[in-house]
Amino acid sequence: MFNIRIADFVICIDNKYDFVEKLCKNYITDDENADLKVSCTDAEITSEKELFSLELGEERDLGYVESICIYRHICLFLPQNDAFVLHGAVIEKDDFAYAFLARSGTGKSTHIKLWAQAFPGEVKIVNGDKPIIRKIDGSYYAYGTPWCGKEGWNRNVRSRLKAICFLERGEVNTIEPITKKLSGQRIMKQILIPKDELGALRTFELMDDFLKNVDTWLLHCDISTEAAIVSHDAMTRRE
Amino acid sequence: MKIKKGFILKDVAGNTFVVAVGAMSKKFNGIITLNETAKLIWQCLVDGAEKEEIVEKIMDEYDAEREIVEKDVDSFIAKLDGDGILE
Repeated sequence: MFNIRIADFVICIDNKYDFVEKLCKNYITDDENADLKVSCTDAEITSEKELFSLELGEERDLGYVESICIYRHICLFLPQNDAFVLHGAVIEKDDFAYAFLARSGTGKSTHIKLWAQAFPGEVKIVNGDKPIIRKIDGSYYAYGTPWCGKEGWNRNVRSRLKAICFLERGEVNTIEPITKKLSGQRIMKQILIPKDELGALRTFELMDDFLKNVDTWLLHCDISTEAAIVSHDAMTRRE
Repeated sequence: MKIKKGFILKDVAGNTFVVAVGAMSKKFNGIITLNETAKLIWQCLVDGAEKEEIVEKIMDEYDAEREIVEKDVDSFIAKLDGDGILE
């Protein structure tokens, strides 16, 4: 059992396997006042393992599977606390964070690598796959967490989120603002909606508010540094 | 006619979404997106309205031909019924 601090919440993890503790090593805290205590049953871990095997054809060990179950518990706790997990890659440049959202395999990781190439030394990772987004004093912040995709890209930091960008592959590099309505439809595919009534309602309210408070973009891009420059120049522009 | 218990409807950034919650979420995965008319029909069905009431309500709200409205209401109700969403 150990405590971590992620997204400025203290979470006590009562684990069965070592994997999750190693995964969380950069987030461990001495703070004992946990906001949430998480543990998973054997039945839950076993059934999640079966899902990996049946739906994805992936044989995962129980420690890894436990870590996924734990993050889901954390994810379901967040909406009542003005926070949520967003499936996307978040980077930071000049003190602002930018989130790229797309289906797995579209090229989020590739695109943020291109930012790092186009602006050497100026771009830092926040979280490569599943950042927590939290509202604090009216602004939304993206947080690094240990759960960050296969590349393991994360830093234990928070950064003010300026914009989200839905990413699609294209022949030419173009970026345009996308309406909040269309963003609302797209973002639903990038979040986990709780199965309980209060959690689901709160998540929808939070999404409505979130979209009002960040810029929203749609990018069509290839895998050249020009793609990064196109998205960078639009998203970082100050009105 | 009435929507079964276990669905919630919520507006997000100009969209209307419906999801199943609680025990119902084991049967229905995913999100239903409703347009303006579908939302009106859904809300009537939450209250257990009959088809005629729903048609009247839409006629009050929109400038449309009764025949078309009836057809739309019929097909939406049939869809909901087919998906096992109505009691």
